Amino acid sequence: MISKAPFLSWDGPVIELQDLCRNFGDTRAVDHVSFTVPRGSVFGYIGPNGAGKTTSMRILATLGLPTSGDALVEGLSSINDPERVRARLGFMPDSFGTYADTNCAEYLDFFARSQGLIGRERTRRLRWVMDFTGMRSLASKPVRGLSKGMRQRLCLGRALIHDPAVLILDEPAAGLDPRARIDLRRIIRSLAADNKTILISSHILTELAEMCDRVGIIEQGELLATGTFDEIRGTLRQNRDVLIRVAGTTEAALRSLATFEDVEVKSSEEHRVHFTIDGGDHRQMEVLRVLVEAGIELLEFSSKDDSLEDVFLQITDGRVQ
Amino acid sequence: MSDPAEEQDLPAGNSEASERNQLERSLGRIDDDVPYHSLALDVDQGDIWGKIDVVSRRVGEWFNPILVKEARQSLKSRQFVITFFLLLLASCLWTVLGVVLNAPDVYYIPTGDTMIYGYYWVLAVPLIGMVPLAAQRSLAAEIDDHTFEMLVITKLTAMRIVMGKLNSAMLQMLIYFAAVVPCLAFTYLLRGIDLLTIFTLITILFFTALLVTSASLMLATLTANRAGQTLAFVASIAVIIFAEIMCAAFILGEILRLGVKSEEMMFTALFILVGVSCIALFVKVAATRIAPVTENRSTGLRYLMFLQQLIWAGVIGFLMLWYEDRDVVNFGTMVLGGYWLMMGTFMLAESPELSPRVQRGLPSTFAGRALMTWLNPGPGTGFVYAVATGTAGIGVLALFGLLVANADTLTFGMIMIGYLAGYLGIVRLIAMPLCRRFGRSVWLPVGALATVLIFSLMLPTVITVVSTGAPGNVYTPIEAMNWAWTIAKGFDRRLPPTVAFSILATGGLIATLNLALLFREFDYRRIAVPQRVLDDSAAE
Repeated sequence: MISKAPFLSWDGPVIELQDLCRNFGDTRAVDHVSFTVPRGSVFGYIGPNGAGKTTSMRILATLGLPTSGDALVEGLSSINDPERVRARLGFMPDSFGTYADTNCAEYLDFFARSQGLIGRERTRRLRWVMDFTGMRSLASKPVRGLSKGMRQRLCLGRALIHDPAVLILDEPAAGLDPRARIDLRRIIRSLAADNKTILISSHILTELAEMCDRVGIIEQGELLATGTFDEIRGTLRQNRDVLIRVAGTTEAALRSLATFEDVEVKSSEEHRVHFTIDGGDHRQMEVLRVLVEAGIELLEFSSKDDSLEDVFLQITDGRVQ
Repeated sequence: MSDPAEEQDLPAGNSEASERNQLERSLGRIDDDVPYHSLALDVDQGDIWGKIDVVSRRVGEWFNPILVKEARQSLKSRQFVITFFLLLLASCLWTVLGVVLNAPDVYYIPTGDTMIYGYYWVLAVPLIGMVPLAAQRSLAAEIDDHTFEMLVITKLTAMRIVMGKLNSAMLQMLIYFAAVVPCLAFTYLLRGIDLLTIFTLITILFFTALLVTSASLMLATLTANRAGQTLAFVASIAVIIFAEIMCAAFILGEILRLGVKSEEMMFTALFILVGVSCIALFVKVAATRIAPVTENRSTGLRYLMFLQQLIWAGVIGFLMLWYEDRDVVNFGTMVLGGYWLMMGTFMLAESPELSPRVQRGLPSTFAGRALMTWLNPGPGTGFVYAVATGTAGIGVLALFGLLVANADTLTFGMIMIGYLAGYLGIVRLIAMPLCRRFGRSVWLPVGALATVLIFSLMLPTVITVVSTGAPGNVYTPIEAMNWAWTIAKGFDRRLPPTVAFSILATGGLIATLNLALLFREFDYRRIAVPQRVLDDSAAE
């Protein structure tokens, strides 16, 4: 990696939103949002359109001002010390403009110069970014002629050109084909492995589940839940769905399940029983042990976790406009 | 395959990047057969052209990135290509046409003074007309195309962005100028015009173009919405037409007709002096408009305004001694009064809230607070600064006028001070509640000023019509509200001193009333820079 700017090492949270509020007239776009993101992690920002994701990301990226509260990057205020924050972050907005009459290499070269990179350092950084984002073969291609996926890669390259510690990616996967999404996911995990701290928003929740260490669910400006996916799911519901498939009839299995007070049978077909149990792994193991001891010939015993979509829907239930 | 030499160029400790490149290669994303773009190569070439290339590239490292980008972009643009082609075509056409029209005299008698008229227009139209519009469009397009946000989060300061645009415009001017240089040389060879005249013509043209370009850049930053940008574009065209007319009147009507004498030299020098200060102000205003709102966007401008006042006072003093004419002083004080009324109105749109970032830079000592508080951002401090500095400037000029006139200049100075304090005070009293209700916008105090100025022109006439049944054509004390008539009377030295005193007293009263509403802005004190910022500064 290119030598870093001589920034003071910072042990605290790399991103910190402190009681952030932003009003547009009578509308409160961001309502007392607070969260922290530690170094080297990927934080997914989830919410429907108009939830306040972009507004809070833009404030963090020094492009907007809050009505109250603060947004910090490595302990520096994006409101009062925007120059210091800008040196540390790369921002990829959901929509961005490009310059006419420039090609990809000139575009990246311009932003490298604008970030103060000179001489061989700039050349090396350009090469690294071109290789990393796969823009090398497109270097001489006019920016205006790029496809959506290529433009996203170019914009990511621009955000990475000065080797920032923090990346803010607003809907980077929007409009990308499946292949490009897979590439993007790999790139983001690769950057996180390189100790970059990433704040990413997306509507494609399954992808966020795969690439994020922690997520925050925001709706109508309010941050409804934060934590790892499992933590949020755990706080949301204490029971879990279990499906069993048996060799014979389900009568014996149903009898055994009836001995548990906290088991609620949802459905029963010829060889399958779908039920819920309160509690976590221990309770599940106990039910399994009782069924096996009862001599039931189990072909399958599987629990079904809620997907990120399920969790999102449950948390925002009734709130999404 | 990738060049091993290139791989060796990678810095030590770049193993992670190399691993990632391996990953990318495995993904099939990096095609080793595809060479790097020339911008991503740092291979030194051995031959003479290679060495020149390397030296040029190293020099280019220190150029403003905006200039580099604009040079790449605008020199490829259709607008530039068409303008340059038309300029060449016009030069050729005029050369042929001029020679034909002057034949056979062109072989025997000096005709350079005739030919230069055509070349003036060939150069003036792109320089004063096209370049400013292109510069304005370039800055406005950054906002329109959403590229501006990407720019401001880089290390480029607002001033460097604006200067980059201005430098790019200068580069275009130089290219246009270079294309016309052979024609100017041809004109000189035809005789009838000396080098000093050609040099003066080019200097005036260049500075006018620079002045108009900086004004256009400032206009581009005034508003972000499309309707506003259209209005700004129209305003730019008006400025360009005005500049073309004034420049042509001076160059064609004075310089080329009469030749460069001491008076023309003096006016050229004074124009450049005032022009440079205006360019500095316009550029600073444009940079201020695009700078983060938490920054101190006012103090620098106030210093520049003060500097402009000094330059103006010096220019007027010099002209007064040159011509020994009191009207020069009155003209100077009138311009100063109007200048501070306008600047004071703009300052009234500033927010009285100071961000912590601004508060870190406030004066810390008692003396500093006493003397420098008026330079702090805020509508109240802006009002006091405009009235106090304007009064000082007008007062000095009026006193200076005693060297060549009697007390007339003092009377005129009193009128201007009274109007400045009075009208600005009224505008502030109107704008304060409006800004609180509708939010801070420069258009509120500007609208209030326009209303007050129009209303004050009409009110005395209305009162006269109501009381006498007909508009009067005799100046009465009630016409003191009518600034246009009063100033005209002041110029004619037929204004009763009692009217001048009453205007000054009324203005003073209104200003005093405004002072009573200022205390909130005195409360701000310097705050400490956070330890985290100090630590970070120390680590840099």
